[in-house]
Amino acid sequence: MSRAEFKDVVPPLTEARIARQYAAIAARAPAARSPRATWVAWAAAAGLAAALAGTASHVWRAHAEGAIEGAVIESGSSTDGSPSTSVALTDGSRVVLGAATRARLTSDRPTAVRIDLEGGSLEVEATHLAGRTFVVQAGSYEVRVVGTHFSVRRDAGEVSVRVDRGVVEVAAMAGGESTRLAAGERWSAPDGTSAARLAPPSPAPVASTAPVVVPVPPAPMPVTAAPARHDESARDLFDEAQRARAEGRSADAARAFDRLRRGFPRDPRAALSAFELGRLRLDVLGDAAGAEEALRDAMALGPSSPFREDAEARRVEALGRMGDVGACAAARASYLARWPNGTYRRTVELGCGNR
Amino acid sequence: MPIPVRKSDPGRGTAGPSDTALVVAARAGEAWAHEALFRRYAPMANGMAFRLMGRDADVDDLVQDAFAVAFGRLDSLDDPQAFAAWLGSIVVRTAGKVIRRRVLMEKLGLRRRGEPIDIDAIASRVCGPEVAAELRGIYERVERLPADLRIAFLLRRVEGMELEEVARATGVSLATTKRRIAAAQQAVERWVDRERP
Repeated sequence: MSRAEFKDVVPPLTEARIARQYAAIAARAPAARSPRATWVAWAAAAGLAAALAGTASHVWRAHAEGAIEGAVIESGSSTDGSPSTSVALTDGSRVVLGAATRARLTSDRPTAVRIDLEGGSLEVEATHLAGRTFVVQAGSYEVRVVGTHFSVRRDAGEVSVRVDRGVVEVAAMAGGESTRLAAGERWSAPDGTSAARLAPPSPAPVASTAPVVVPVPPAPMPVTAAPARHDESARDLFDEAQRARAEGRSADAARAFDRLRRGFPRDPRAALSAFELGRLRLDVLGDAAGAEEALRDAMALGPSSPFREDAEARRVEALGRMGDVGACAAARASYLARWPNGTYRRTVELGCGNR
Repeated sequence: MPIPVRKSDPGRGTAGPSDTALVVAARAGEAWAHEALFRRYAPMANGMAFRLMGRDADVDDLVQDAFAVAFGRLDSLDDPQAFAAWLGSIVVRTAGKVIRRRVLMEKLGLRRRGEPIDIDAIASRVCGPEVAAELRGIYERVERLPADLRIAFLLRRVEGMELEEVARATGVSLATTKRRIAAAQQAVERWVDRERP
């Protein structure tokens, strides 16, 4: 028979080796393709395109899926029927260019992303990464990303910014105080430099005047009795919950999952968050009643979710721990009727004490 | 059919998102979830690949093939929490293909026979000399076995799987599994007898 020690025999597994293996996997699996891998593919395609066109720089037009540092990204006019140009960045952020827009990706590094908007408008869905700065320069102003989703327009001698989610800071390149914009706020000011060639002709440079912050109606939000703050997105909360779990901050993770499922019940992550909240409350926080409520919510939010069986089984466990014999027996009967040969059948059968 | 995982399932702990969470996110196209699943199970897959192949040089390709297949077929995984076991069965089947390919290449003269086995070199570092010698003996002999027999034998003797688990991992009946392991065992014993002074 085998020896237990045999299983200790493993190959040397360094971080470099793991990274190399994953890079190869990501390059082969389209669904798992990392932004970096996407870039490599597009860099090669763009290099070929540039060579064929006899141009010196990489220029991305509509349908672009990735870009490399230093690349110019541009979109067609609104009248030529071109779809909007969407560019994926290394950190998972996405930039969507409006019509007749030209921008340059001047930095795309783990610590700094910088886009120079030469003319037109762009919309940014920025991932939230600690230690990474994300800046869009539009003429004489910089928009520094603090949160997640915003748009910048530079045309007709004006720079305008609108924030849909999260927070950004706008600062004049010449220095001075920055303006902090939260979700639902809009900012505009005369541009201090001329717009780029794709933008409409701009008037002579105008000295910066005090920017005006105009509150605008917030974008439609999911129907909710949300404790989620207005500057939070479901993705932010999910990321926050995962970070907290990885760092062993179970209570923080539970709070983030709770805010997500209550604040964004229509988000695809809501059911999963409710389920994860249930697991945390049951396994770590010792809150069986809270777990039962969250698991019930997970079943309601995702009636056909892949973890529906898990949620029902864990709910039986939660009700058993609560000592609610009647409800536990009903939940047990429901599980066994639905999954007579289910993965958790044995556990569920024993879940409420005596049958 | 996936192999039951008897060791503790890291996805069920509280140190990170559950396997279900990661699989669901990966199915939704979240690249971070693919990487998180890979990083969680890379040690398991590398270890299993190494123990099935006996050579470190074969491991990278096997692991990459197995994960690429797994990520491409995530939608077919009925129980996301069973990702580890499911991945294990993919590693086993991929190993079978690699071994068969290697044998074919040797027959065609495209690959040199008898390339060194390095499992005992690593075994001697992590286990005692007795275990390393035992492993070396096993691998020297299973090298000559057909892929199906070799895989079944190693899953039983080295991975320590139950017969039912070997059957599930290799996708054959319990009876076939028993026959393969018995045939492999007899072949190995015959070689041991011949090698006795």
